[in-house]
Amino acid sequence: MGTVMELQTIEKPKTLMKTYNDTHAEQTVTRENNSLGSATVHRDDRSKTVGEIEAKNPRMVCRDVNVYYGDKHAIRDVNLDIGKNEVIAMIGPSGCGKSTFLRCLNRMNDTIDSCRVTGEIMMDGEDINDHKIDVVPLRAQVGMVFQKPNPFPKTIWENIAFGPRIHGLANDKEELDEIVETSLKRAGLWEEVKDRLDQPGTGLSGGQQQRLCIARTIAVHPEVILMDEPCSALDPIATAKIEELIDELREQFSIAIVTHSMQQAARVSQRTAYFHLGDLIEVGDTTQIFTNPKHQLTEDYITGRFG
Amino acid sequence: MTKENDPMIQPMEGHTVHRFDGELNNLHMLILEMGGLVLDQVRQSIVAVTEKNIAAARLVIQREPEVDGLEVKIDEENIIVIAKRCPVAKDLRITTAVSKAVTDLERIGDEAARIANQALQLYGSDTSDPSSHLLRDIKTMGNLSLRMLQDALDIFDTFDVARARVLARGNVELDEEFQSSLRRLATFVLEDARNVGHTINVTLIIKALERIGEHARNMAEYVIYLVKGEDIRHQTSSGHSAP
Repeated sequence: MGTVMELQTIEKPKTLMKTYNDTHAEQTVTRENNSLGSATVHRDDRSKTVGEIEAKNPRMVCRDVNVYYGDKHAIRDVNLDIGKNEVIAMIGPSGCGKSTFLRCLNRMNDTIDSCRVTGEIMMDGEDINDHKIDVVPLRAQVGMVFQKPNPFPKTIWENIAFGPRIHGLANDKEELDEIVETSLKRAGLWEEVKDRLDQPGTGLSGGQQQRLCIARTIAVHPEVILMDEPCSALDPIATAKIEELIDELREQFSIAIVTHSMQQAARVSQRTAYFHLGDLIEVGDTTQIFTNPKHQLTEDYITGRFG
Repeated sequence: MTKENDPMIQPMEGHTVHRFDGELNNLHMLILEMGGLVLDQVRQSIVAVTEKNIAAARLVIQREPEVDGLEVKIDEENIIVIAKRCPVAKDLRITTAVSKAVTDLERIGDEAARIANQALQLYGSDTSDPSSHLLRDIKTMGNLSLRMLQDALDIFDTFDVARARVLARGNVELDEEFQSSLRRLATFVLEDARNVGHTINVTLIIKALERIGEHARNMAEYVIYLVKGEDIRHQTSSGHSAP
């Protein structure tokens, strides 16, 4: 699914850039008129992230991360910690780089030829972009849930058992059965599917499929779970179930979630990071971001004042 | 740039959904409308007492339900905005500030009605009218709290944080005036016990005026919260020095 999605991500920023510059020009003018002339938005100011980029108990530490798609500089100097046992929400308009950044965290960008990542993404004292690192165990350690539920076209049981088997986490079918059961239970799906484990995963409802994908992710004992708009294809009830699940999973995992729903970010996360055109503008406690953001761009975005 | 060095921004303009701007502006306008009515209620109630104007007192009492009606209306519209728009950040602070301001304005309205009722008692009984000495403190206190309320409404109109800070801090004058009024009233009673009836009425009136000043000060605090996101309540009670 990589190439199609990436083309969109590359194309979008150009039009957005124009919008930004227009808004930006207007803002500069209004500010100068309104204020004593001291407060104007300068482009350079955006490169300095406002707020606390560090987590108290970091699981992943990202420093000076830059991402290029060919000539396009998609992410500029992003510094951010992913904390243990907390949910960090990444928000921002389309093309702001939030998904691209998320994909850096388990090297999903490797699949795109034109993509180049620089900077440090440290986990357990090692840079995950180091050539020594094998991406297969990395992606088990840092799992991912996508926007559209994408179960394998196999049985429910196979969907969960596949990962543990190839990662050698089970010795026999009995152990696999146990992993399947506990994973489905933790994903809150067990009661709904326990009598039809031999039926195709694709036959489940959208919300169930998404929980199946989460169960598949946690079956391989990850430490970090990345979620890229996990609820955007779901109805409110299925969304509520996923959000409830995220809140429970937080006790065992570190979770980074990209979402377009501001209310979802406010509901599920403890920290929020706001991206804008490749810059990390502001990071802070979710409650602070949604009651009193420090940066004007954050305020404008979350209150629906531009875009 | 951060908002710290961003002095004056229009808090209610520029949503992609223009109707949201309109709804927030409507709330703002309703508060100012209610504020205007309440301000006149206070003014008339002071006129009723200081100028023996029974008609003014009756007007205040008669208009009291209007004030209550505006309170209900503003709360209703505010809840609709919250339910419909799920406001965050400054928008959320606007709805919160409006909701709090409405309560203070309604209480000010109650105090004005209380003063008007006291006026009817002062001049309606068989005893002689109160002496001008007794009424002097009402004039001073009345002017003071009226000015504070006028100020608070101007500040709520323009979202002027600098002026809001001055008003929120500057209640020393009102408090001192209140205390010295009480001392003077006590001496009236000591001089002639027959003054006691009027003195009680006047005491209740200046207490009402003192409350009005405090409510005005609260409104200034809400403006600081609305614009800056700072909660400065309960930090500036008494014993602080002037800036």
